[in-house]
Amino acid sequence: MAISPSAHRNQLVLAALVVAHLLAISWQVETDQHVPLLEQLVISAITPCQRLLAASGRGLGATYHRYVDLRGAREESLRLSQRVRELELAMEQREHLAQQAARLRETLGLRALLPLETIAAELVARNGTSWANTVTLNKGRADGVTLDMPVISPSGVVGRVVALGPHAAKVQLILDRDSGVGVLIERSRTIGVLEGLSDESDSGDLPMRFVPALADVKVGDTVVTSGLDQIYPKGLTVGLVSRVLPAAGLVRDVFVVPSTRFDELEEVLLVRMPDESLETPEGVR
Amino acid sequence: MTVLWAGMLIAAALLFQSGLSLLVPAHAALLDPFLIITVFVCLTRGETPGMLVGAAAAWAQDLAFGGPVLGLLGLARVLMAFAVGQVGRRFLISNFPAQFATLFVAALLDMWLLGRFAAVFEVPLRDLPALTLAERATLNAIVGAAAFQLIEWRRKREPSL
Repeated sequence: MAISPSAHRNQLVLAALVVAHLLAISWQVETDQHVPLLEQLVISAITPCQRLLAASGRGLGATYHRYVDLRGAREESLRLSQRVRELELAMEQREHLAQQAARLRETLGLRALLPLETIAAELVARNGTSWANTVTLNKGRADGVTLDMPVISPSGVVGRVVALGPHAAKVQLILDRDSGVGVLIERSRTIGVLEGLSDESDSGDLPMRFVPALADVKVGDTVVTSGLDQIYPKGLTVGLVSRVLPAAGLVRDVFVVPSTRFDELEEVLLVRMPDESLETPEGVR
Repeated sequence: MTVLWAGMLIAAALLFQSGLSLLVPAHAALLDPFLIITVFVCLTRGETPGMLVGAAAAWAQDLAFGGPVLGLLGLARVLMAFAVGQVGRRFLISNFPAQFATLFVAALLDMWLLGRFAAVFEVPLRDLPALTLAERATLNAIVGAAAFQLIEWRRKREPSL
């Protein structure tokens, strides 16, 4: 059945009038909340859209803020990583300085105890080959260093100066094969000569030669310089007896573990020997 | 139908209703001249003029006599006018019984729609007893159908040009 234009018009007029009346009525009628019905209807219709918009806005905002925060966090992380590296480096430097200060205190303590004139020096190079055990110090002839000057550390005898430069000195360690130090057993006063590392050495101990076969020597005895070599002052700690071999004829071999921690050596004292005496006071030992 | 003619009809209904409320205030509400002119326009001019005149008449009625909510009666009357217009478009409603029946049903439909809309919008409206509704519908149907017949009789008596 075809719908005439007038029928269309009637329906449109009906719809328009109904809507108009509904709006008019809604404008006047209040709900339980004393809000006009029309307003409530409008609110009800608009609120979901507003919620959707607000939620979308919040979501977009949150996403943007997360993105910005992430960017900020990455930059912050990089900055903090850099800061951590700097602090770690500073801590290492401080630790190093603290260790150095402790060593210097120890060295200065020794220096205060020694009645001898000393020159403080630092190791600048090591030569740890199998045929030579030498180190290089940062003080030389210009600093008053002379050949054969004994070198000591707070823990014991280190060696002697064997070569000189204006501002450097080469020190032969007592570990060196060609080294020889006049020593004695502190307890029994038995004398001998401490040589450098040899084929007989075990775990870095050094042979003490020319010990009489009948001498009173025991493992653990303290060995000090005798001063008889005219190089080292008498009474400086050298090490402890580690092994006592059976007598072979008139002499016996005794092995001594040096008390000096050569691997950790960094600061040393060069001893200027007095002409009148090579005796070291008791307090140094 | 011109707006002026529609306005005159509504004004006449206002005057009639006002006079009636002065003369017989207790029974003035039973007769509804605005309903009658709405049905008359629907039957003679169609739904659209009927709905427009019905809406305007209802608003005038509400404004003049204090309807509970402006537009509530208008909404009921628009729908009633549309229904009457549909009926008038399909049936020949020219004799008294048909006009009476149409007005009777229109009056009942008008009141029923008003009651339903009042309930929907939670507007307090006094429920009329069925007998009162029937009396009102009958009175309006009789007066309206008589008026239609009178108008028709007058129109037939006028010499055609």
